[in-house]
Amino acid sequence: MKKCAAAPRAFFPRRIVLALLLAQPLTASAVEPTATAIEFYNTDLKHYFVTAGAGEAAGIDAGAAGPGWRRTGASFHVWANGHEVPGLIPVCRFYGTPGVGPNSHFYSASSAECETLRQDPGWLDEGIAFYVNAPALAGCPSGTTAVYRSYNNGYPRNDSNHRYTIDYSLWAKMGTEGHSPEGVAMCSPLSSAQVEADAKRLLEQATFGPSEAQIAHVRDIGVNAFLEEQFAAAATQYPPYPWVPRNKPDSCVDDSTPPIGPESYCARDNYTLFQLQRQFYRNALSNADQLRQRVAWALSQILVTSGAEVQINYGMARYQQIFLDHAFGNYQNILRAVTVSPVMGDYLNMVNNDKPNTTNGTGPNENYARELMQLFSIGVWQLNPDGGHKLDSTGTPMATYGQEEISGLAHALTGWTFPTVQGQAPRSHNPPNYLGDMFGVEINHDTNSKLLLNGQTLTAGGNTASDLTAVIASVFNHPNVGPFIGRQLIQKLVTSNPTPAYVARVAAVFDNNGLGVRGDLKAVVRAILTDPEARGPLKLDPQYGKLREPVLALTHIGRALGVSSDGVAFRNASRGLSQHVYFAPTVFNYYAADNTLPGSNTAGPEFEILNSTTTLARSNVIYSLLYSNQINPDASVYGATGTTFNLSAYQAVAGDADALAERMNRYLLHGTMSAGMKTSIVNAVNAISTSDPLNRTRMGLYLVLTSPHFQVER
Amino acid sequence: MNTRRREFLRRATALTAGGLVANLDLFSLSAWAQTALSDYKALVCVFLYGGFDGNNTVVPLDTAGYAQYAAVRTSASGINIAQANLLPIQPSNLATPYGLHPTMAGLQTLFDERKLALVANVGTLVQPITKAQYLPGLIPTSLYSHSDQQAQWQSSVSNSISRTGWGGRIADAVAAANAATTFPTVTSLSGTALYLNGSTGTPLALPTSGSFGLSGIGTSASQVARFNAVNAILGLDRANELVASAADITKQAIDLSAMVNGIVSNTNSSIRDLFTGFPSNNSIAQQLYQIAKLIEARGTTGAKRQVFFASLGGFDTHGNQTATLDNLFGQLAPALKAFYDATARLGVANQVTSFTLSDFGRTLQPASGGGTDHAWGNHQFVIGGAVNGGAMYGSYPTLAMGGPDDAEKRGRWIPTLAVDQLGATLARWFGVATGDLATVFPNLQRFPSSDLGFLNLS
Repeated sequence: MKKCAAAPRAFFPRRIVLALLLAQPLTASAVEPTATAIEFYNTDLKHYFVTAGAGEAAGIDAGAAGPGWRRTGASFHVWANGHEVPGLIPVCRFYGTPGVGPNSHFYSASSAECETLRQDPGWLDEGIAFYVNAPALAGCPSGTTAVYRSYNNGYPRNDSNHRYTIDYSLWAKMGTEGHSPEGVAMCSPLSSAQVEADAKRLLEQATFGPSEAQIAHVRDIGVNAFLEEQFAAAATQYPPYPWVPRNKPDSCVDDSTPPIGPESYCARDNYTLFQLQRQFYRNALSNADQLRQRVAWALSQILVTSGAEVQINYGMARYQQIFLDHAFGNYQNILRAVTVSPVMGDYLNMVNNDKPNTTNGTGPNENYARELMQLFSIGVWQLNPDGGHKLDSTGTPMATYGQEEISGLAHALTGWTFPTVQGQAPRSHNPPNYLGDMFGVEINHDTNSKLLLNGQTLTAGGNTASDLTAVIASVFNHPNVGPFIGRQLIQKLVTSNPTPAYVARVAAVFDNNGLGVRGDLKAVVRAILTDPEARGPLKLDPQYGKLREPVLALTHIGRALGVSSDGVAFRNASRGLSQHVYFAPTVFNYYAADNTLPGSNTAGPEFEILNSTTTLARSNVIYSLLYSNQINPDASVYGATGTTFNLSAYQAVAGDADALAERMNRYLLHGTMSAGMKTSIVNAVNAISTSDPLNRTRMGLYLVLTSPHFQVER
Repeated sequence: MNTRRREFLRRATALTAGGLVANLDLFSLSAWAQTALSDYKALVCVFLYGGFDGNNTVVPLDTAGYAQYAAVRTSASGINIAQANLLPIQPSNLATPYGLHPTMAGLQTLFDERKLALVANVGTLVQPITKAQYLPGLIPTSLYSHSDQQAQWQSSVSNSISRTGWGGRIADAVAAANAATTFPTVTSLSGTALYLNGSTGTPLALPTSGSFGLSGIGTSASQVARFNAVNAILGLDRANELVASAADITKQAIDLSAMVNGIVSNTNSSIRDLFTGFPSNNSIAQQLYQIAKLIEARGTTGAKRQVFFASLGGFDTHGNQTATLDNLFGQLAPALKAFYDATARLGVANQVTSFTLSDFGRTLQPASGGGTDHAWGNHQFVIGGAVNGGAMYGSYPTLAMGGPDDAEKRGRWIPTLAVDQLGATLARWFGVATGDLATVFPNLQRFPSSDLGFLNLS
């Protein structure tokens, strides 16, 4: 048997890889890296190859290495020489001995591994490929990022090949190409551009859009400090909109007679969500607690109520405040607060839901019981911690509950009514009122025993409060909650297609925040945003990222372009793009978490509201925002200020189409603009005279912001 | 079809248990190439989101039948419809009369004129089952769940995940008929839906009002430069699947906008007067009006076979059911009647068949709060000149809680017909070859008949 290099093993044990990555700081190398290792792939050989030699790369492009070699678009920084900064180590490069070893190259930063291969007749030593930073005791040091290595398991075929990448998601999915993950192979120096790109990406995931000032701030203080700053920021509070009766009095109308005062538009301002919706945008565009608001917006799309049913402005404001208050709190408290909210009670018929009534033949309403389980907590299938379906012995997915559990929970949640209107006597069915929590009316509560989840039985004799507590506990403690809610939060903050391992890491934190607490959302959010699948300088995984939902596309544009707005224009814009704020068509939100791209198994929740009509509408909204000098205040809105953008930083460089494109690449696409796209933009900008920087700017911004490369955040 | 879509299809097929998803290559496309198609046909699906209450849509009107209804749907429950308020119809194939919801005068007329058929107690099924077989594995997955049952109605696959719908697969099967035009076979007036997804082409989703095109398009140098750059960028850097998908959707919209805008914005349609009486917030009337205009413009689009999709939501009547149904059926029924009248005026009444679908039916037992809960089998309407109307197909269930048709105890009807059979009857009329039916409806062979007889195939 040929004596050939066994599949070389990574020099870091796999199990420490994640630990060191999670703590990885976001800082650039003090000195800019001096070379770039460019990755190639050969479609015939199915082999990867990297080189830091510009001449060698050009030669491969020209066919010198034979047919089939193409650049993958991936690269990582290295050092050309060993003395550029202290503590560098060489990376040895080997080639399979012709006629003996594989037709493949191998690279290692481990001197022991290099030495082993030097003793192996299957490999020829090709010398030092480039230099990288030495690992620190705890992993890759500050100013560097991990290079992950996977192996094609080619030893039995004498066809060993490895891939080296700094894209964690790509590495994590290499199993689809028959590769096995091997861990961290070396530490690549980070350029300042790479660090800035990831700072921007973090802000796309954690805020309503990166402003240029905030990009610099994150670059300066790093990810962890930024998150702590956000966790500590004071929570946005919706204004205390005045209480109004559920049924609009005849005296409450919209009066357009000037002067417009705070009471002029009584009907619109109290009996639609207009004021709340524009306040949502004002807060999103300018308040400091960006991460809290962003998480609240995600939660409001999981635990949905909607103006489609409850169009009482003060009531919906109080409902949405739950998510702002609890965004970094405990999920069990959210489940409880939502369950006793009169807005939810009204929306999903838990309010005035009575025990079985033999006189009129009614049974308890099942609406809330069903959606509490299906949508707000556990879903319809039993899940593994990584979000995959748990299978029975025949390979069939198992339901989490059946009609009997729904019936059990519906009975357990009987007897709740609206909070009593101030100054009125309580009744067993109070009239609609959204101030305060619902309260239990024992005479309407079913006191028989009820079936809960996982075969638990609620013993007879409970009251509204004790049965509520038992229901919430039964649901909250179901093992599905971590993967079910965790995956959706990942999708709403980071990427539509997280790997199962990413879901499992987040679910584990949901299950236990490290201090034995289950459901700690602050810990969950931190885990989501610091995960190596969220962070990192390069994202080439073809399923990475998410389509920006209309709300986020609009706020991202606004914050990138220095907006100042009273929220009216934004509120109107997202309404036209199938995402009317707090107004989802049903409790299933604007789109389902498991929606896929047309004809594909790749998830794309937000694609459920992207179609031929709405995609043109998106472009046209961007057109009207950019090509209006300003959006004037709406005369019907008391205190309106309109909407203006500040394009001056772009206009200042717009005389040079190249500089304009580069600026947009940096701040809007974090460096992902291709040469081809840049050429298209430069040509179009140059169709306008250099004496007209405003329209050159508009042209450039329109092309970038309407492009799928901006619409998909990655 | 580009390679990317083909690749997706292959994966979708591979990942579905039992290979249930249609494989385009199985279709006998050559049969189409040999047929000179000078005719035109359209299928119009009207999906009633939320699961409408069939028990208050079609009610037995004979004394015994109504008494069974009223014994459960008590006056005190708040959702009883008085016998005198129901609109009587007499199915030609049955001995006893039934009553339609009081808002459905237009549908009553179509029934009397034999242009409308009722399909009773149809639903999602894995296979025909009896009450004794109401067991996991033999019944659809996630029964009574909106999202799952919508998906199963729209895909006809009730025992696994399908990434395509039967509207899209019907379109795939007749694709050759539209080979001469780039206009997609599938057109939605209600955004995206699983029903629409096939493996050939991206469904077109058109607006119910307003124009369809990019702002700022013109002939000035900068406008031309912008338009060219938009198109160029849509073709670049498509390695990311989400980017490529967004680019495909946008490119199709831009490419078709000039042709389509003239149709959807047309205010001089010959059938305009049939829809002018509807308030602007009657979405289903607006959608059906646009569909009628697209049918009218079939000479412009070049379409020979069209699969349309419209929808009306809000049928999840857990509470306040009476007022909600009065409102929604009050929008739906006259809109369906106007649409039939439009096809008659356009001379294509025999070539256009409309039908309703919905998540599920609702419990016969009222729920606390003046509503009903999620159930299973339901009754659907089929309308058109080719319909063998004035009759009720299938068997109307016995309205008794815990009775022979009840899956459990609140009046959830076990369907006696499957969506597969309903769809196959429509597909056969539409021109899907008999040999292709099993590809469009992968579980069809489990049911006794693939032609329920409500369409005239001659």
